[in-house]
Amino acid sequence: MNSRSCLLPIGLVVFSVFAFSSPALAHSPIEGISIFYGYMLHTLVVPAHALLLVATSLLLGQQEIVLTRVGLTVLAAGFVTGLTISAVGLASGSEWQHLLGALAVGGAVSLCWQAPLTVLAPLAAAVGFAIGVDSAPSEAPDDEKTLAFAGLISGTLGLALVVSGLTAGLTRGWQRIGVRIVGSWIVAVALLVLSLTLARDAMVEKSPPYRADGRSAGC
Amino acid sequence: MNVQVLVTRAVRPRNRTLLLAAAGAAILLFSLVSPVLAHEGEGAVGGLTSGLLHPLLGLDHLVAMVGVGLWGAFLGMPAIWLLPVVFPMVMALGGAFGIAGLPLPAVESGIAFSAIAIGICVALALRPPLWVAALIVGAFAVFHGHAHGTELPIAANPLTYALGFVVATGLLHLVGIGLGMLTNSSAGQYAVRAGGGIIAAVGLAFLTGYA
Repeated sequence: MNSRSCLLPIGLVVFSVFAFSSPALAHSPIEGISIFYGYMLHTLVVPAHALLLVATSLLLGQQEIVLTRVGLTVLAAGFVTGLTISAVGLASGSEWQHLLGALAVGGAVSLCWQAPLTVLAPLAAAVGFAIGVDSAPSEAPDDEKTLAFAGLISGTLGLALVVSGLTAGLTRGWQRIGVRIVGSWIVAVALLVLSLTLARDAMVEKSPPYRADGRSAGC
Repeated sequence: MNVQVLVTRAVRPRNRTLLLAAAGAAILLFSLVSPVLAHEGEGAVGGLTSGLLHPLLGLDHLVAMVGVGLWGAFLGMPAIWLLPVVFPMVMALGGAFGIAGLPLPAVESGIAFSAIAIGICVALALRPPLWVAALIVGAFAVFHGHAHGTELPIAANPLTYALGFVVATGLLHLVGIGLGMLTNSSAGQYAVRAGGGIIAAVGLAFLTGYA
């Protein structure tokens, strides 16, 4: 039995374990390192960040390997820069910017757009910066901020590396079509949530202002 | 034609991967059906689960989505992948209309009719030009999206809810594509066309109020 034919039963076993197991509370096995793990998962638990990062990583993975490497390097630099700026309180991000970015990049993934370096590098830097500037570990205790930063950087850049690496390794036609389908899913989700955000903002603007006693200011 | 030949043709290396992917998608989707939620779930995970379940718990959604994948497999390349790429984006456009409160007349009837139309196309083995097929599927995608989109604002976590129903829709397409691989044999073609008839019948039941 060769290694490829072993993968299917192993994959089925792994899938069954995760699909049919009950949820367990995750806790760190090493005292004090929970901050690191918690912030390592930060990008995944903020859906707008995850959407934008996965879309960008897919796009990088669709490019030639040299461009993928440059893109990942620039994305990392942008992320660290954004994180530093947000940590000192100079700026912060917003969800609609991430969703707009995910919409655009997801569209590029579904079209399998082969971007030139002059476009790809600034795009990757901007994405890294946008996610970093909205990821400051403000809730971490001061004496554990370094661990929080380390977790953020390793988790975010690790996710980008894995997704782009896996995408770059997909060589068969149907696999690359699957990546384009995932890109279209990202576009669809981003469009829906952006519409909801805009609709809610429009409703808030239309609502009449109320005084402290609950009566309309126009009465 | 004996069973051995039928199975051998259905599980050619190129088809085997698609069949496995379709089977995996079906297992994943239907393992989620057991918790029937009476209301939208809470938090990110609850939103994701609610979104995943939404197309599955609506039989009219479910059969229409499988029908799109089935018809794509019938039409062959490039429809087999173009439809699953375009459909979610057009569906999201319909969803945006629903969120914005733009009225779309007879949404539920449109969804039922989509099952009828796509089922008939599969049953009669219709192979129109690609742009006609895309137009038909796109028009119906707006109705499905509008129905999902109107429930988005009440979801606890709209983003994960949207992710859930978009992914579930895509996996249903994959199930349909996997079933469509049976068209490699003549007996399989009859089976697929019969499936199209069943899809159309389900749509008719919804349209006439029997379901």
